[in-house]
Amino acid sequence: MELEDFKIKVIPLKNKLFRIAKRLLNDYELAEDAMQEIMIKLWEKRFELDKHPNIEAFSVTVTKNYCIDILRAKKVSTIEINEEILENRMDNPDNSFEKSELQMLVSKAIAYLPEMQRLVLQLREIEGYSIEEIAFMLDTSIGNVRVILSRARLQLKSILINKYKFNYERY
Amino acid sequence: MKDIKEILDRFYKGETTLEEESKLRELINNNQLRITEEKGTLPSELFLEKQLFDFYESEKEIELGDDFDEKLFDKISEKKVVKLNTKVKSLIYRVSGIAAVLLVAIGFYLIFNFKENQSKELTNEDKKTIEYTLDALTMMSDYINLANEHIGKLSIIEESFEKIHNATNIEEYNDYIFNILGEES
Amino acid sequence: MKAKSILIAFIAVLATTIVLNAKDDRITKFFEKYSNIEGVTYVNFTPSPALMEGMEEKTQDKEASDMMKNISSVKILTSKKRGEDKQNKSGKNFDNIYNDALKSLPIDEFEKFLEVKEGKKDVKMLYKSSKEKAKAKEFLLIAKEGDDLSIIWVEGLVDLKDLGKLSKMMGNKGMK
Repeated sequence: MELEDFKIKVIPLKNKLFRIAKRLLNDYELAEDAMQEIMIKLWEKRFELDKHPNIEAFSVTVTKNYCIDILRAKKVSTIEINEEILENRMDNPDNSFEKSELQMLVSKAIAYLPEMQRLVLQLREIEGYSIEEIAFMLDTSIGNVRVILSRARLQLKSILINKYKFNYERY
Repeated sequence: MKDIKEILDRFYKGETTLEEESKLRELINNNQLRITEEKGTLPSELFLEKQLFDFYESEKEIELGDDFDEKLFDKISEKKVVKLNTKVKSLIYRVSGIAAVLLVAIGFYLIFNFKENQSKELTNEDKKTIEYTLDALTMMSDYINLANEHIGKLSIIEESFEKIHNATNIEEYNDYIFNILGEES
Repeated sequence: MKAKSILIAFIAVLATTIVLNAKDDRITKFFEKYSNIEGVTYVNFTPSPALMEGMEEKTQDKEASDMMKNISSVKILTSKKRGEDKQNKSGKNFDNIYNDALKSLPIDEFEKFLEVKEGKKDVKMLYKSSKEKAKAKEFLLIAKEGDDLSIIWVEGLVDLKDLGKLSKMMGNKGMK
């Protein structure tokens, strides 16, 4: 595959892959940088890509593997912050986004889920892949994907209700 | 309504198809389940799901910046040009013989000048103080930025979450979730 | 009568000053206590024209040095557990100082806004709006990172935002 071919077949996937990377890494800028590296990796693997029946699925798998490696390399740490102090005294561009309070809560809650659940939610709810496609990308069984999806949806609801006190009456 | 309950049940078991989920979103969006955002009114129990679906819709639109492609192609072509660079390097080494000697001479002159000026005012102690202070301030600054990056991302593990972790099957999850819902509404 | 009330007022002001300074002293006392111990580095920074000029030269960044002009005091204690010594003198000093820091420093007067725990790492960052001097803020960092201990106190007319910008300013010039 030459560069022109690559531009037609792989580059259009960039935003989708970026969203997946961002979901896994929980960080916009980190995901941006990662996307550069992932695209270069895909370019270096272009001969494998040629032989692969499903370029999209292959690309998602490469993305997922790269991000998981980054997450593993980052040491596991517990970080506690006092948001009130920081939000009042720092410039926070995120705060000026149009997203409503509720949407921010959802965003926080998803970030709190374990990696696999975040990934499956991203692939299903946002990117709209079928269970079979997801199973293929994650190299696992359809049954397992259903279990992860189920847990993800339930835990997300639970986090919103319990941790963030998502209380209908408040809204 | 029984229909909806059944779809929801299967939704939380991960058993719905993309079409069924699409239908669910449509129903919720078209307000056919009487979800209302007005404060103080009796909410439908699908208000939470509506927020989730709205969120997912908005997330579909996230994209990389305009300069992404350019940066990427620069990097890719860098990889092709490696050989060229080494050729250029050796050329520079050869040509710059005399120039290099001149530069070094000028360099020495400048360094001696600067050293004189600098050592007038500060003791070694002072220099150490400055260095340590700058390092210390930078360290604090890094941690402040670390904290700022994590706004909205992390939290302390709470007991209720442990219950979910320890539940061993879908039915237990379900019961737990719907019991909580029952208490809230 | 007037003389008496003036005297009372004077004593009141004196007393207040002493009380207020006493609070400040918890910090000063702590730092001075360990200022001369082997294996511990103590740095006490108060701005002077020479030092500020030196800072400006080192950072090569106008914004950064402007910001630093608003800093009135920095106290630093650092210590390292040395190789073979870890179980002996420097190791004990390390732990003693760390534990003492948590006890003797006026942590209750600060608000903790960040804590990082990760294996051998325990970092706390605290923040305070100074009552004695209007608009002045205080920052306290108590960090145990593997074999390195750092306790840093900063006071100045700078806020979280300003101090946060520093590493970006320095980063740009390749200081780290």
